[in-house]
This record gives sequence, structure tokens and C-alpha cells, in this order.
Amino acid sequence: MPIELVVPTLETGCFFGLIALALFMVKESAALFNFAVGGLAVVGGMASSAITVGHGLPLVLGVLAAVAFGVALGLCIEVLVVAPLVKPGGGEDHHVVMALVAGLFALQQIAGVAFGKSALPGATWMKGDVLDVGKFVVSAQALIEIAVTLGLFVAIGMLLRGTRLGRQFRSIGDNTQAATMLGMPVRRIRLLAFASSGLLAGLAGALFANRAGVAFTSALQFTLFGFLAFVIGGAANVWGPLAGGIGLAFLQAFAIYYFGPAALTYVTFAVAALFFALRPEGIFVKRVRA
Amino acid sequence: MSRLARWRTPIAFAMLILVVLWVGQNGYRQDLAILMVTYGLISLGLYSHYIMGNSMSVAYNAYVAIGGYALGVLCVRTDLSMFLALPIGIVISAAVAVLLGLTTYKLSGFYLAAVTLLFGEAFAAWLVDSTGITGGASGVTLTRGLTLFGSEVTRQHLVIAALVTLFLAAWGLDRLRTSPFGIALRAKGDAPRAVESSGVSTRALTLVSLGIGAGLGAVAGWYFAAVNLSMLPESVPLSVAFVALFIPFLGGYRSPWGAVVGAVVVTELTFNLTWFQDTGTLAFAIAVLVVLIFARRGLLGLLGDVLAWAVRLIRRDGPLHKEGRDHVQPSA
Amino acid sequence: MSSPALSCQGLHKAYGGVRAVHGVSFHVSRGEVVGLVGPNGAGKSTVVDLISGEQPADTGTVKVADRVLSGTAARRAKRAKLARTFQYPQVAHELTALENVLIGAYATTFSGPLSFASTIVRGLVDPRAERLRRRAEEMAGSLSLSDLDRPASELTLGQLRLLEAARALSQDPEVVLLDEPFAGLDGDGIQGLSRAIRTMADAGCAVLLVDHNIDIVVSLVDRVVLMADGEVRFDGDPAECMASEEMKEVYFGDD
Repeated sequence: MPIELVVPTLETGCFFGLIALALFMVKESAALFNFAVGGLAVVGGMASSAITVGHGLPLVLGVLAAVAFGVALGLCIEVLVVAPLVKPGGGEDHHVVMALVAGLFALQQIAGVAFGKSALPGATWMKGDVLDVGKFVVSAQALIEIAVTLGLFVAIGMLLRGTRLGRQFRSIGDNTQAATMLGMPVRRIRLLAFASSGLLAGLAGALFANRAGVAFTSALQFTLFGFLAFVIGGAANVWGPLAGGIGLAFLQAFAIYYFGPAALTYVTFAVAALFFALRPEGIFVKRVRA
Repeated sequence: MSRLARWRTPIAFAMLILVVLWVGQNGYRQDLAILMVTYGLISLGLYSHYIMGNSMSVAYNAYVAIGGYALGVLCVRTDLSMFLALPIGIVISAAVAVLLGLTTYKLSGFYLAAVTLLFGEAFAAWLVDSTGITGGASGVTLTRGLTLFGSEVTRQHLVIAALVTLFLAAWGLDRLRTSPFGIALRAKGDAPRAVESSGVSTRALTLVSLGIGAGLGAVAGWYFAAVNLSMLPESVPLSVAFVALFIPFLGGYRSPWGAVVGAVVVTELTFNLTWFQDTGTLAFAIAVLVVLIFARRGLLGLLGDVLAWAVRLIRRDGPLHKEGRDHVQPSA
Repeated sequence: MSSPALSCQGLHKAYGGVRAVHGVSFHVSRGEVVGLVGPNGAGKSTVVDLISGEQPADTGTVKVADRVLSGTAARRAKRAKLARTFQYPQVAHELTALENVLIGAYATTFSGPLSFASTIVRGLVDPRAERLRRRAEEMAGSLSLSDLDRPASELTLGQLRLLEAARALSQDPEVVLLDEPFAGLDGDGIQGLSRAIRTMADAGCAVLLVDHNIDIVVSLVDRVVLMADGEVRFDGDPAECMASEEMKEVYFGDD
């Protein structure tokens, strides 16, 4: 693979990784898949684009708006869609699954109505290159995107391992029924999970909107790719989503480079069929303490 | 069985007659009708394996495309009767569905939905990519008209046939639903171990139901191509299959007629009602959420409730009023 | 002596490093009721799963009437006329009680691709399938299950167990595996089910009955197989088993 594709592929990998992390937060603490993440990313991306490119305002405002929308909509999903339907034992049943998919659909339509049906361009919010060695170029923007992504993963990893809240997060997801009986703050944690899911997805949309522009129809695509990244990487630890995201991005890049643009969809389907059937727990396997 | 439910087939038949008369020769209404039939048949397909059998396989853009392209390719490359494309399309799409079903057999829920959606995307990309077979981005165009026993089959004939097909498909599924096949399939969705231990292969039930769904999709594609005289890769995009997932829930998942009702509503909201303009699909999305959370039995369920309440109201004020009063129970 | 209706030879099953079933062999003859007893974790339910085909055995064979059983649970149920109930009732909650029982009668209607197709066609013509329905009603009635048009979600645990038994009976089986069928039943339910089990055996079925409640089992069965830690510890007369050293050891520990 040509060297000039490495950094852009890493950027895409970080995008997938953040969406997968958004899924991870809710899966770990509420044993649910927040399928709406793609819609949250689209809203974040389009909001940020509308503010920065549309109104010429600085990126920081765009990102803040994206995060605000993400958190708000994430909470809406928990309050309006999940809480009324989820059974006390927690976890998935097909009513909740269907409702969350409908939530994705609704967010997609909201984005289309609020920000328009055509794709919004992404902005290059930082010009200049940090590294320029022959064909290997690292733009300043790419460096910041990757750095922010890594920083978020490190921070969340530390929060989950080091704080009481973080430990509650994972133990509630492991056995929601027991957690409820023990008086743990199941609802509060779930609200926090959906809020953080929205934050991460919205931020991902804002940071990476420049990659190829964002259209409201991308919501389903983002959810699918984020979901696949999550399954590939697994939920054993917080780095699984990132590994899955980068892995998926490179697989797609190889496919396009060697077999042409249509191969993106062929390979993604093949990888999904393989991983879901053979190894749904992902690359990193949770070690169960016997 | 509720009062309304006993009359469902005659009521649906009456609606069919009304719609046929309403569509008439109007070109715009014919387009709307074909869209409605397309959505309706896809939803009925989803009803067969997802609502009944809990198999969330969503690759319908592929099955519809196979049906339409079979007609186009047969028309352009052979001299055979174009009606032959219908069984050919059905067989090919059922075969694809069965193969896909075998590959994804261990999957369920959103895992299955995700893989089949990705397959749908890959299929859509293949349609554009393989210019040799499918004509690439320009799709297929019908170069001759349909004839039956020598006389021309007009657009109006086709639209009527499509509406009748939709009616028959819903009626057929309605009957199958309470037949041994339907009961076994519905039980498989909920308690597969019980079905297996009773000697019925759950794998066979799943694959057959997937085949039925794909076949219905192919029929939709055939009608679509026949009426529109062409089919492009983006004629029936993946988003249609995705939207169709929600239609049976909106209309009412307890009966295949719910899928038809939902299809009518979706078509109206997204293409027809001008006061929704651009937000028709958003209105549909919100309606689906509201139904899933508050009115799980969908529009037909609500209709049934309203009618039952109206009947109770009428009875209380009716000529048997005195006797009725003795039997009136305090409302729960 | 005619070959036993059901025979297990050397069944082994391990999960990860844990041995669930180890070298289990026993048989059940036609018309015989054999009780499989033992404390929690003895491997009784696993044995039932291995026989019915829900789980594949690591080694060992299961034979019905001298023919080795293999393949999926559906295949075994059809070929060997094998019916079973489950420790946690497997019931379709959206269907009515009658429809759940009906499933048991379906083995012959779906026996191959041709019969599958003809079942679908017949379903369009005659959805009600009266003959099958009457059979299911009979079976349910024999277990005193009434009000069969209720959705299964409205039934109590005891009624669900009777429903599973009725479903098993509807299969017209030759071998029946009952996994903890008495748990949750009241006195009448226990009597009704015990009668049904005896009737099955008298009609020539081979019945394997797994249950915790030793008193019920011992009064009902012709022979007892005692299991502990995945192995068979005793195989013989119920009264002898109750008085045996093995029984004391298994249930009360060595003293």
C-alpha cells in the first residue's frame, strides 16, 4: 500500500474507533447497542460544518455545538426511547432493538430536515503539514485528530479503571439485575452512558467531517461501520474499539487500492460475515476470572 | 377474534376495488400505486421472516433489483416472453436469500440485520460495477412492450395487476399465519428449542421464510421495471429496505394487513401529502417511534381499539338499554 | 431379550476444563420409566441435552432401538420419535396454549422438502387443520389443561409444564425425556402428570424422568439411575437405591 495513504487511513480508523467507543460505553454499562450513534455523528458533523463552513465561525464553536447536540440527543434517546421500553432486568430484547434502530432513522431524518438534504462540505480547519518526508505527509489536522482520539481513549480508559464511577459502569453492565438489587445507580449510569455516547459520536462527526463531507444519509453507514469496528475489536478493554476501527479502515483501504472502489463494500460485507459468524467476541477476548 | 378482524378480507377487497377505481388512468396516481405496491410487497416479505420468524434479514434492495433486472435483461437479450422473467427473478432472488441465510445462520438480531444491510450495499455496488451483465450505472431499459396472447398489456393493466398481487400476497400470508407452517414459524421465532425438539427443522423454516420474502421482493421489482420501463442501480436503494423494516410495526405487526396499511401511510407521507413537503419521512420516523413506545399494536391495533370502544358506546345507548345496564361492568 | 428402546454408552461432555458428564451409560426399555436423580450439578440435564441432540457429545453414543442417533435435535426427534420437555419451559409466548401444543403434532407435516411444500399449500387452502387441532386438544385435556385459547404468556409455571408435556405427547413419541417436569406443580398437577407418565409407559413408551424431588420420582419409576459429579453411581431398584451407601454419600456426604 502506498505510503501516502497511511495517515488518511489512520484518520478514518480513528473515526470508526470513536464511534465504536461510543457503542462501547452503552454496551458495557447497559448491555445495549446504541444503534443511534451513526445519527449522532451525522448531527455533530453537519452542525459543525454548518457553523464553521456555513457561517465562517471558528472550529471550536463547531465542535462545542456538535458535542452539545450529541449529549442532548443522546440523553433524549435514553429518556424517550430506552427508559420506557427496557425491562428491569436490563439488556436487549427485540422491542428495544427495534426502537433504537428507529431512533437512528429518526436522527437521520432530523439531520436532513435541520441541515438540509445535500452533503455538507468538511472544512480543513488547520492548514500546514507537520511532517513531509517524500510521499509520507502528516498534516497538522491529521495529527490533532489522531492525538485527540488517543487522548480520549486514554482518558476514558483511566476513568473506567481508576474511578469508582468507572468500576460501577462495567459491573452494572455485567449483571444489571444483580446491580439493581444491590442498590447501584443503574438509571444514573445509563444516562451517563448515553450522554457520553452522544458526546463521543458528536465529536467524531465534527472532527472528521472534513474527510469526505457529511450527508444525512450517512447515518446508517456510520452505525454499520462503527458496529463492525466494535465487533472486530471486541469489548475486552477500552482499546478494542480503536483496534477494530483502525483494523477495519486498513482492510477497506487495501481493498480499494488493490481491487477498486466497489471492493470497499464487498470486503466490508465479507469481513462482517466472517467476524460475526466466527468470532463475535472480537479480537481482544475478555478473560473470565474463574 | 375481534369483530373487525373477522371482516378483514372483505374490507381489504373493498379497499382494493376503491383504489383501482381511484387510480384509473391517472399517470401520477399510477406511479404512487406502484410505489405503494413495492413498499407493500417488501414489507410483506419482511413480515414472513422477520415479524413471524424473528429473522432480521434486510437485503431487499437486492431482491427487488434481481426481479427488475431479470425483466430488463431478458427483454434486451432474448426474445422470450417477458412474463417468464417473473419466475426466473423469483427463483434467483430466493436462491440468493437462501445462500445468504446459510452463511448467516448463526446470527440474529442486529448482527443479522447489519450483515444483510452490508450485503445489500455490496450488491448495489456490484450493480454499478458489473457493466457486462447489468449495464452498469445506466441500468436496464425495456425495449419492447409486454404482450399477453397477442394483445398489448398497458400500464393501467400492470398497475391493477400489481395491486391485485399485493392483495393476494397479504391474503395468502394471513391464511398461512394460522396454518401449521405459520404457527411453526412464529414459534421458531420465540422458542426455537421447542420447535426443534418437536421434530421440525428450524433451519428449514428460516430458509423457506427467507425465500418467500425474497420472492415477494422480486415480484415487486418485476412490476417496478415493467411499469417504469427501466431499472437503475439507484431505483430501489438500500434506504428503501431500511425504511421498510418499520412499516409492519407502524401498520400493526399482528397481521399482514398491517404491512399493507403501513405501506399506504409511508407512500402518502413521503411522496404525496404536500403539507409534509420535505419532512414526510421524518414524520414517518417519529410516528414509528411513537407506535413502538406507546401503541405497540400499531395503526390497525388502534383502529380495533377505537371500534371496540365505539361499539361499547353504541350498545349502552341502544334499544336493549335496560338489559344492557344490568350487564355493564365498571370500566377497569 | 429385545434391545432397549433407549441406550447411552460412554457419554462424555466437557465445557472448557469442566467435566459435566463422564462415561455415562444406561438404558431404558420399552414401557419402562427410569428416574435420573442426583444433586444439582450432577450432569442430569446435560445428559438429556446429549440424548436429544441439543448439545453434541464429545464421545459416546446414543441409540434408539439399536440405531445410532446423530444430527440435529429436529432430526433425532423425527427419526427416533423422541420428545422432551425442558427445565425452563420453552414456550412461544405470543401464541395461544393450543397453538403451542400443536407444535408437537407437526413432526410429520414437515418431514422433507416435498411435505414442506405441500404443508404450505394445504395451509393456504385449509389453515385450521382440524385433525391436528383435535389431537392437540385431546392431549391437553388429558392433562387437565383448559382454556386453551389464552396466550401462553398468561399461564402459570405449573401450567407451562403441563403444556410442555401435552406438546410432547402430541408427538406420539416412542421415547420421552422429561427434564424436571414436576417443579412448580401443585398436588393436582403432580397427580395428573404422574398418571400421564404411567399411561405413556403402559402404551409402550420409554420414559426418562429427571427430577430433584426424589420422593415423587421413586414412587413413580421402575428403575433409578443416580448421578453425581457427572458419573453414574447407582443403577437399579428404587427402594434399594434409597437405602444404598451411594445415595447417602451423594446427598449427605461421607460421614
